[in-house]
Amino acid sequence: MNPENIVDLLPLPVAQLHILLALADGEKHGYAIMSEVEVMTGGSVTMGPGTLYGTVKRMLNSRLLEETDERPDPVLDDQRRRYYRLTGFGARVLDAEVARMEQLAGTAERKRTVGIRRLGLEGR
Amino acid sequence: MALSERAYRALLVAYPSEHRRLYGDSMIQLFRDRIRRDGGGLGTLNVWVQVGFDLVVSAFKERMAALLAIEAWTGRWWEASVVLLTVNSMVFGFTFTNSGHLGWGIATGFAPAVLLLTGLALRNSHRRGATVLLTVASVGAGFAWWVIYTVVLALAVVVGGFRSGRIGHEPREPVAVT
Repeated sequence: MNPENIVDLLPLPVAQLHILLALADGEKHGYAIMSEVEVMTGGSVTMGPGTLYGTVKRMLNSRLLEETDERPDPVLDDQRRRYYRLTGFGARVLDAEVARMEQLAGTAERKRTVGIRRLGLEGR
Repeated sequence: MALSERAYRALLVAYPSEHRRLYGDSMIQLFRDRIRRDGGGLGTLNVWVQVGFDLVVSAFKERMAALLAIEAWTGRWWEASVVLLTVNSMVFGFTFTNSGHLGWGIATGFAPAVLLLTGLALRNSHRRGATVLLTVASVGAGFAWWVIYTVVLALAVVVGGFRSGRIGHEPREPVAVT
């Protein structure tokens, strides 16, 4: 995969970033992805079926995700559910997006500090 | 099957048929899970408010994506031709009645359609020049008073083609999972 393609995908849409993060620690089905996103966002984001599967479809087309037949626990699991996991490319895109956000957060922190000093708001 | 689930299943008709075929069952499963977890009294109402909003927004998005995807039209020559000829006949009629010149009406009304269809054909055979022709077709159709027509064609070409990397680019190679 040409590294330029990673740059083309950034910044990621929020829904795609949430799904990549939800799948970072292993394969999940739709409901598990939705639940994980809720936990990660403190309950502020609940992805509906349309948004979730529309986003999953686009991510499959971009090769960020792939469907898998592996099951965490086949005995306990409903075989009709479809599981998804990150591809190697998806993991690299997630890494690049997080690095981009860290850089942005660093810039924001420096700007915030400068702004506080300039306005004399330190210690308030 | 619960009433809510039956209703949701029926509402999935809002999505394009291909999307329903691929993800309809999974979406119903997810809806069922939500109702099971959060349903009951006001909870069901709350789920419906969220899911209803999600359905309207995402169905519109999927419909637009399906409409603008060139792939959706390239295999359907008859439908694509009928749509193009209808639109271009309207453009021709408008131009001819306003300018009074038959040649001008044909040039502006039908030439873009010919270019577009040629571009799609070339694109199907992976010939170079398809991208140029498709772009010329969409831009060439544009005169000031045909803004909507131009925007639709340009979006079909640019969004459906360039952005998805399906025109002028080789398909991406599958990446092994590490």
